Amino acid sequence: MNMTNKPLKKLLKRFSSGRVYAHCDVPCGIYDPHQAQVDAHTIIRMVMLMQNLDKNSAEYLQTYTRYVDVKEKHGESLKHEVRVIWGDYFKPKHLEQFPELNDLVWEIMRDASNARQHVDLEASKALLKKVQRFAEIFFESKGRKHKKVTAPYPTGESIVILAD
Amino acid sequence: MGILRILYTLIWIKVYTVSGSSMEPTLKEGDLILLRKPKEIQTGDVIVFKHQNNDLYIKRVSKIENNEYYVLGDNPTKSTDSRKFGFIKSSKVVGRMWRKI
Repeated sequence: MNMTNKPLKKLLKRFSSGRVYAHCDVPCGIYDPHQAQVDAHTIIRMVMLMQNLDKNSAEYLQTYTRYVDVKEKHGESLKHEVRVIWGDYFKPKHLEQFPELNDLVWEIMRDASNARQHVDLEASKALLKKVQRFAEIFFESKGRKHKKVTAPYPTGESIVILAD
Repeated sequence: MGILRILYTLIWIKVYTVSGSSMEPTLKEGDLILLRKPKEIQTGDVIVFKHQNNDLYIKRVSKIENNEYYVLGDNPTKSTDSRKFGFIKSSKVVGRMWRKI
């Protein structure tokens, strides 16, 4: 029975009890917001290096281009990591617990694109803060404690890790 | 008898929306399916079962042993199924796909 009756489909959709998953990726349950934080730190570091680069250096263009390339790649990686956790791990029940979640992810997507487009240290740091909040929500959704510690990176910024 | 049959059908039919691509080409993302509580499940049936945090998954029964089901996706290169998580207990089965809409 392949119904092509759109009104009927619409009506039945109202009675849908939910989704049944035919996932293509492995639902292995292994998710971690660590990489997204590393990506945000990398973006900050690239901006710092770009702003401090000697324009008179013979290899200025070469080095600057490499920084741009790394910043681009980590910007995209950050978006990918957050998207996968948001789409595959988080469920509607988490939204009830963390009503800010969807808006936060949307802001991370937008801010990560901005970080790719510009060389803005403050904007990059603001992006890290949002990714850290995303990591806190992730750990809290699993009932785990977390803490913010100074990251062992030359950004001087912090990172959210498990505390139990 | 007819009325009882209609009532039985109405009570036990549930509508679900498919998410993912492991059952392609049979079922695609966003397809609606009608689910019924089966008297008996046979090899080849498409079933919905609880797995991992009680989320509902949909796969096709490939073989049955000791009242447990070995399930596979119709799109084997893009499916995580009994090849990874083994047999599904009958108590985990929610229903059998009756119709695709």
